[in-house]
Parts: sequence; structure tokens; C-alpha cells
Amino acid sequence: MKYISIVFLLTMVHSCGPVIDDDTRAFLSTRVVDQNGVAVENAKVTTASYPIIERFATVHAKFSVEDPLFILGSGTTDSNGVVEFLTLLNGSTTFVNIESDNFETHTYEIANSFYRDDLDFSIPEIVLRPTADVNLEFVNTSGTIDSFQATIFYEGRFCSQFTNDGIQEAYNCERAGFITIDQNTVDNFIDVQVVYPSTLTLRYTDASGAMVVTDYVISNPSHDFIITY
Amino acid sequence: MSFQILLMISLLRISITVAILLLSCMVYAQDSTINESSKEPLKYVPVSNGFAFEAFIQRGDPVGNNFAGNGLNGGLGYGLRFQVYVHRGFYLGGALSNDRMTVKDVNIAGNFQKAVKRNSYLYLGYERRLNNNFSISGDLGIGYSVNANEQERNVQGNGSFTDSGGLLRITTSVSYELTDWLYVFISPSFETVDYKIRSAPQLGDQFDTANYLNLNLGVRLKSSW
Repeated sequence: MKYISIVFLLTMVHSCGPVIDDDTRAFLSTRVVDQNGVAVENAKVTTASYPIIERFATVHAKFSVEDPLFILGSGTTDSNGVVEFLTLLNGSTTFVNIESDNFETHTYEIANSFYRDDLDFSIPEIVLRPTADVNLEFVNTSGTIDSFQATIFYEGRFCSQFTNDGIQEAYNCERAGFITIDQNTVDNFIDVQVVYPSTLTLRYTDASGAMVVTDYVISNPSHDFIITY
Repeated sequence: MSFQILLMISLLRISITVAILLLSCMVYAQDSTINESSKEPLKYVPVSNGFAFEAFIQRGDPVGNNFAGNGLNGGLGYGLRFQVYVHRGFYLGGALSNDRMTVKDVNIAGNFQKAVKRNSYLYLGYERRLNNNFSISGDLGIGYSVNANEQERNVQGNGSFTDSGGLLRITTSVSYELTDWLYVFISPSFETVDYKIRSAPQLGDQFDTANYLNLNLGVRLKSSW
């Protein structure tokens, strides 16, 4: 009886694992271009159940037990930057990952409900932009002992249809980063990967209590900014 | 007409021709041993009422211009059937079968590696004895078919999902009696599955239906009431 119970339990575990949508075949089509609108040829476009990159540009470990990564479909762009392929679906979100020799990997997060009616996942255009390593270091020159929050807004390689208000047709590539500035903390800096050309916006409250908003132009592969407070 | 359909038709014709030739030989042999003055026509003996259990191995092949015919490779499978003979050779039965398939084109079938097609169906048929050794039969089955699809573990992600639909199956067989309760048979069959797969307009009608040609070899255990 013990062995029957073990076999039954193993069967149940196997049958209750992560699954792809039954009886479903979608079709994805898009055109991949660079920041100048020039077609990107030979870019590998993959649909998956998880992003290959995370929102803050760290490579995610694939196939970990906690985060199953199913490759749902893939294709390669032609000389016009166009790619079309059959794709499976998994749940409420599809991640379109774009890999190219000349650009860092980009990810577009698609809300499946937006295309549920006909399963025609048509993305008019995906723009690949070069990526800059941006470092912002906060230096205490005022002598304040207060700690405060600083927020940065920038454009990253992760673009999404999901917003705080729901789902939108256009893709929002704006990312946010947060850091607590504390004189007792050694690491008062933040490193982010930002696509360019773009603008990075920093917001924080200074020692006098005033809101400080500063825009930084990102135009090169590397930027180091020192912010005094 | 596709090569596979022509092949199946040829196999069926060969099976029936062999059976008819054997019947002819038996009749001739009987005639030659019967006294000229006492020739009597052969008396047809219908199949007795009773039940039968079948076990078979099966080679199935997806055919036709659809996602299975264009995107999957057939393989070996097995099945079980149980039928009851109710009246002069007519029978009712139920069947279960498993067939293994592999994906030959992920761009047509989807990004997975293999599938197991599981059929369950009820059928109505008729069996006729040709002579003391050979019988032929044909039945029409209606039921359900599910393809249990699996991705490859390392490259595709080890995901799984199903494609399912209604099944219509035509089965024929030629059987040979080894003993009064044990038969061996060869059985070509054709099935069509009406899938309930939702697909994008760009994929056309590729995922609406799929057809499969099968050839079974098996044993039948019979018992009369």
C-alpha cells in the first residue's frame, strides 16, 4: 500500500507541474529596427514564459525550479528586419526576447489578453538601442545625518504593455530604480544599464527638504555621475 | 491521392484478395472430394454471439495537409479492444490506444519534441467468416483523441500541454483462426480527429483536423455464449 501511495504521489506531482496553454497556437510578427529606424537582420526573436533579462538588466537564471522558462517559439529576422513564427502560449504573459550581435538583449512583455480574440500577436516595431553603463554616486557634502530616498527614471531594455493602470497597446520602456541615501552606508551609488540616446531623471529630497529633479543625457556607452547632497 | 492512402488501399485489396483466393481454394478442394452425385452448396456459418478481447501493436502515420501530416512523424503504439457479438456477426465494442509521435518541424506543429496520441472510442461493426480459417471485419468508431505533447528538457524547457478533439475511426481487419478461441489479425485503419485547437488566422485551417493511417497486428481471444 505504501508503494502504491508513493507511485500515486509521484504521478500527481508530475501531472501538476507547470504547463503550456492547451489547444492554442498563436502567431507572432514584428519588425526589428535600430534607433535610426534601420532594419536589424539576423536578430533571434524568441517567445518565452519568462524574460531572459530582468527589469533591472540582470541576467536571469534559466530553468530554475521556481521560474520555469518555456521556449514557446522562435524565429530570425530577414533583411527587412521582419520575423514571423508560430508560438505557443503560457498563461497571461508572453515575453518576447530579442538577441542580436550588435545589441544587448531586449525584452518586450506582452499582455496575452490583448491578443486573445484572434491570437494574432502583431507588434508593429521593436527598437533595439545601444546600452550604456551608468553609475550614479551620492556624496554627502552638507553633513546631513538624515537618510532619504532617491529615485531614478530611465529607459531600459525591458518594455511592457502592463502599466500601473492596466494594459496599454503601446510599449513602455521606462524603468525606475530606488536607493536609500544614508551617510552611514558605504555603497551610496547605483549602477544601471540605460539605452541611449535617452534621458535619465533623478529625484530626491535634499537636506533642506527641497525636491531636486535633475535630468542627465545618456549618449555614450558609459557615464559616471556624482551627485552631492 | 497521397501515397499513404494509396498504400492502405493496396493493403486492403491484397488482404481481401488473399482471403477470397483461399476461400476459392477451399471450395475447389471440397468440390474435388465430393461425389459428383452429392454436390451441395457451402452453407454459410455466421459468427457466433459472444465476446472478444484484442491486443495489438500499431504503426500510425499522420497524413494529409495539416499540422500533423506536415509537422509530425508517426511511430509505434499499442491498443486494446473489447467487443460483444450481438447478432449474426454484428458487434459493439470499446477501445483504447496509445501512439507515439515526434515533431519533425516545430515551425508547423509548435515548439515541442514529442507527443503521445491517446484514443478512446466506441465502435459498431460487422464480421464475416470467409471459411473455417479466415474472417474479415469492418467497424466505425466514434470517440475522443488527446495528444499529450512534451517539450525537450534542456533546450525547450520541459513544458507540456495537450491538443484534443473528436475522433472518427474506420477499422478493417483480416483474421486467421489458430484455434476456436485464438485468432491473429492484420488491421489497417484510418482515423480523422476534429481538433478544438484555437489558432491565429495566419495559420489557416492547419489545426482544424488531422488524419492518421494505421496498421495493426494483434491477437484476438474469442468466446461464444
